Amino acid sequence: MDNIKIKILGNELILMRLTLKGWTALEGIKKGMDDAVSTKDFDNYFIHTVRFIETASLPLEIDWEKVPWYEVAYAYSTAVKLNTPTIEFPILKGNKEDNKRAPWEYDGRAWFFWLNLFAGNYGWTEDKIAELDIDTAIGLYQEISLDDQLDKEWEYGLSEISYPYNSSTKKQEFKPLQRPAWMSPLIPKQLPIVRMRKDMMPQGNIVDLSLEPIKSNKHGI
Amino acid sequence: MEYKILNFPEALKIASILAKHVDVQEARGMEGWELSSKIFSSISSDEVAIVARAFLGDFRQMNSEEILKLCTDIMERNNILDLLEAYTVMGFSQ
Repeated sequence: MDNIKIKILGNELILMRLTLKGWTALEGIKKGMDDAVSTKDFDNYFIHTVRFIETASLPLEIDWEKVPWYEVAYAYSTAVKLNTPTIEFPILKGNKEDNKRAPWEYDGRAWFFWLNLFAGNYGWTEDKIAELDIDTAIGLYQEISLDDQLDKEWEYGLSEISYPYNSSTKKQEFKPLQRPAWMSPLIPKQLPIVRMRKDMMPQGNIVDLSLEPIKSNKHGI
Repeated sequence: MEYKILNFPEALKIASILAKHVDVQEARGMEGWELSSKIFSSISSDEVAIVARAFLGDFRQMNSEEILKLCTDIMERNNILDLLEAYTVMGFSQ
């Protein structure tokens, strides 16, 4: 993706698509912005917004206190769009797990996560990993996760715990290993209409329990 | 008179007051004076003082009609409805 030039107080600001290491810094700044939103700390939100824009742009001396709010908002939204994955990776979708901070989390951990992932899987150097494009990094992350899950399923299938005993059928039945949400089959937006034979439909009076109860007459009917 | 253009922190503070009283979709169909009348009749006197001070600085020498007219113009120049929409998108008004 090419750099984008925008005007801030009449000066040209060049926004860039960052490589992986720079992008992890942006993710850290976004967390700071989320914290500022939750506490409605406008000053802190502003500081993080400016830091986000400055991280994603070539250096330019700007007094951000004097910049109109709409120019700041435009610069931020442009920087976000430029530094977003361009491919809809399934691994980025799926249910968001509990967002509580794990004990091993700390500010700046994201870079070490990616460094460990690619160095461990491919033996790449730190410089090579730092220069990856965001789409490439996330695509490879998905493939590594997929391989891990399929390897786990293979090993799991060879063990007896994958065949728990079902007391009602008195048999051991295969129970597949749970897959993460992003690997689950897609639910169709429109469910297919299933036609049923008339003789298989319920017979007799159908009582709609969602309606209000009919008041009984003096005979209790 | 030089019209005040809000910087980012000022805009967020103003949006935090106005967002409670303005339905952006409904306001899109209003004239500027209609919207500012609705706003100033809905917000508290303390909030009026905060908004007027942010837009006009020292407004003590002005009458209410002048304040309303100037605030209407300044809100238009600051794209106040876009600000309120952006305020919601950022996540502040949830």
